[in-house]
Amino acid sequence: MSQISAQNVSFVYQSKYQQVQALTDVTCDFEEGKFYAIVGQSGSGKTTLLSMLAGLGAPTQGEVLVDGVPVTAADSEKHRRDNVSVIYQSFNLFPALNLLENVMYPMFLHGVPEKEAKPRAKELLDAVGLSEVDVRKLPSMLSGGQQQRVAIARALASEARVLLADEPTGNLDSENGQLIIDLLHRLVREKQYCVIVVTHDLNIAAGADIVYRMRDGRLTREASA
Amino acid sequence: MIVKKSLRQLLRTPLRAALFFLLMTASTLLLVFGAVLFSQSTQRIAAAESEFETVGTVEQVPIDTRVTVTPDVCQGLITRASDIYGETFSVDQLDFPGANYILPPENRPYYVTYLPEMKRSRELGNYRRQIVEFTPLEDTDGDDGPVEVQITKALFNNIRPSQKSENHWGESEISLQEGDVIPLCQCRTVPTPLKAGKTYIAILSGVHCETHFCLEYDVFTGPHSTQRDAVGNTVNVGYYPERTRRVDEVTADFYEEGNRGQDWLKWADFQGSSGSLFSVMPTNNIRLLPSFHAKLARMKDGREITEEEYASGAAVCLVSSSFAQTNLLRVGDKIELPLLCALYGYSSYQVLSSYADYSLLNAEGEYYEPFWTAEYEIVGTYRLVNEGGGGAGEIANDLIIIPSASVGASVENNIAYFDPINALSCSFQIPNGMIDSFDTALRENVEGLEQLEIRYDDRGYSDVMNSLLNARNTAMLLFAFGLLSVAAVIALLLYFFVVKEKKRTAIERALGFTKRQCRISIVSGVLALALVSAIVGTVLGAALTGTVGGAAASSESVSITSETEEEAPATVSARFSRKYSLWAGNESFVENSEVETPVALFFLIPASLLLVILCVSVVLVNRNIRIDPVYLLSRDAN
Repeated sequence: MSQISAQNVSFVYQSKYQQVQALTDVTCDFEEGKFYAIVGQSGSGKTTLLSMLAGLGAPTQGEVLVDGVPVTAADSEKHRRDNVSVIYQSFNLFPALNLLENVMYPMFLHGVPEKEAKPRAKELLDAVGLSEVDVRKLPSMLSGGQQQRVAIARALASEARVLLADEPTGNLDSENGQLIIDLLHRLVREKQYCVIVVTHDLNIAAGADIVYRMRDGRLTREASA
Repeated sequence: MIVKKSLRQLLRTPLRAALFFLLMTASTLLLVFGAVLFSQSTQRIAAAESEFETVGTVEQVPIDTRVTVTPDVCQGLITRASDIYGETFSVDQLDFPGANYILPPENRPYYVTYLPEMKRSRELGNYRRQIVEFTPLEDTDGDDGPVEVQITKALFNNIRPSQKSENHWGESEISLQEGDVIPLCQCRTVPTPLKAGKTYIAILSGVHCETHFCLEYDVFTGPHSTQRDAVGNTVNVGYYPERTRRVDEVTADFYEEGNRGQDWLKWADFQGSSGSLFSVMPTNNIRLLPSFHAKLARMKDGREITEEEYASGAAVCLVSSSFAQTNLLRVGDKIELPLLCALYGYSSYQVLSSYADYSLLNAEGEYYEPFWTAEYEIVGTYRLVNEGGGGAGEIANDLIIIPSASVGASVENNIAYFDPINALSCSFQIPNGMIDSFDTALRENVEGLEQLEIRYDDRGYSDVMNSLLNARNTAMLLFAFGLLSVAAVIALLLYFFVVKEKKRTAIERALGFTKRQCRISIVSGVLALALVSAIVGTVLGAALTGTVGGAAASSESVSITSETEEEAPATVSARFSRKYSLWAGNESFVENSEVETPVALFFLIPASLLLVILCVSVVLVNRNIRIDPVYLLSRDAN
């Protein structure tokens, strides 16, 4: 079942000196229970596509659909809140909030009371392998791998079924990077999440169910590894 | 919930929050302190501008002094000095282009009015006089001894029952009655030889003779006129134009129409009615009267005459509170004032006393007809601060004050006394702080100033204003410094708590926050910090204002005290300079004026700060929101 898709998405933006065609007629589908990798060189449009899928930008042409329903500018916030979660290379946790509070943050947007949010956040931290870590610690007190796990726990807290990961292992050593990739694979396998990873790492791409390649704003599907 | 999260994040950086709290509190304190001081000093300046008046007084000085020495058998050599003045100086000569008077120079006479229904509030000094007919019991012989005369008829005496009858030497002057025999001094006071058996008439007054060391009777000034024209020249149409001692022989037809007896009867009538004479002073504003200017006279009941009433010549008047009390007059009552004659340059102490040397008979020997009569409404009463002190010297007993313009007739033919202008009768008002420039312009434009003595009295305005302006400049500096501090702190605050929170906003956007929620998330924490520090800073500023203000009151020249118990507690007082003050003596002259603490500033300043922070932070957050979150959040990767 197609969960999220891009239909003929093009995106043009105006840089200081010229118009840049970041995406050209991109069409792709992403389904639950599958691990997708989008590879390509820097500047090829990977992150822009991720931005379109996350509802953080509106396509110049074409549309992003969730379960066949177009995501408009008016409901892009709801889309981000309910349908997708984004994981970044640099973790992007709230530095002033502790681990538990970081994970609880999206729950407040869904109106989950603190009494319920707290055990749920702990569960999520346990699920990403942080059961031994003191949840009152601030992100800066954790290693990069641990911070990325917190970021994944926070992504899961929103109950979105699509996880968009932008170079999730870029700031991690290979061991921690592999642990994160394993975790994402586990989420796909066990929880049927749809994980879309934008990466340079061919090893990650090799483990993906479906690989897309971006080149000069155009997307092509490659054969599965 | 968003607000709570926002505050939580703010407090997770306590050092930064505390630093900004302290900086914001300190700069708010400075701002409030400067603003309050500025407001108060501005109020003080405004109060001083309305409280202080710069008045100039003009006195024509004599060009010479004439000394006459008269041998007197009874009292030795009598030396008299009289001033000789140049050409009479008119106040109109003081008007010149660019004079810029607030109130132009005026020469205030005393008008004499006759009010038989009214009583004086107190008895004045009394020079005993008696108009009698008498017959010498012996011829005058020009010898230095007195001759005895017998009283044949008593026409008038002003000896009051309450008046002490004994003089310094224990000699009693009696109320002369028909048949009394008295010693008449012939040394200096009998102008014509007197024959025994004949009847004469004269005004007699008992005087202690130093030669014979006993009470003798002197002949006093007889009926005469003191009428002058508009420039002070004697009006002489044949009637006695000078004050001379007179003894007239009483003949059979002496009292018939056209004969001298009529003069004596009028004179006796004048003397008898003098207790019902009152003085009226016309002015263009009581501010010009030295006593009011020096605050030696103050309003008691009712109100002052308004500027409009002065200008329009409304029939309103001010009376002394003691006069009103004596005659059961109240504000709103009306009194009819028939103005008989005018006395220019006259002394306030003599205007109603029996020492008066003006005559109510005109140059034709007739009583002055009132040149103006009108009914005046009493709009206020005044009192002298020190009733016994007589104010600055121009407030005659029971003086009635009227607007100059209310007199609708010329006094030209009813001038009973004329002396040159003096400091008590002639004054003008100029704008505060203009003494030096005015004086320079005056001396450049007006001729004949060498015969004038012009004095300025700003009651210390110059010094007080310097002090107040210094205080205001200091307050302005404080305020400006506070403003700069606040601006710098706000800039830093917004930089660290808003501009640098771009990434936080981006994360929140990525998590699905609406733009409004992003704004609330960032701005609420900043506003909370600003609110607390602004309130604390304002409270401390207010407290500091009170403390420093109180300290200044006791140490600086612009201070806070109260002068009189009947006035509201004052908040400003000032030490007055004596450079231009006639009245400021050895002690500081204290004046009161209200200064309100600008309570509104305690709300306005923090509210303004919060508003500025709110607006600017919303603008900055909006800028943050416009940045593509992916760009910010993926930047490390790219």
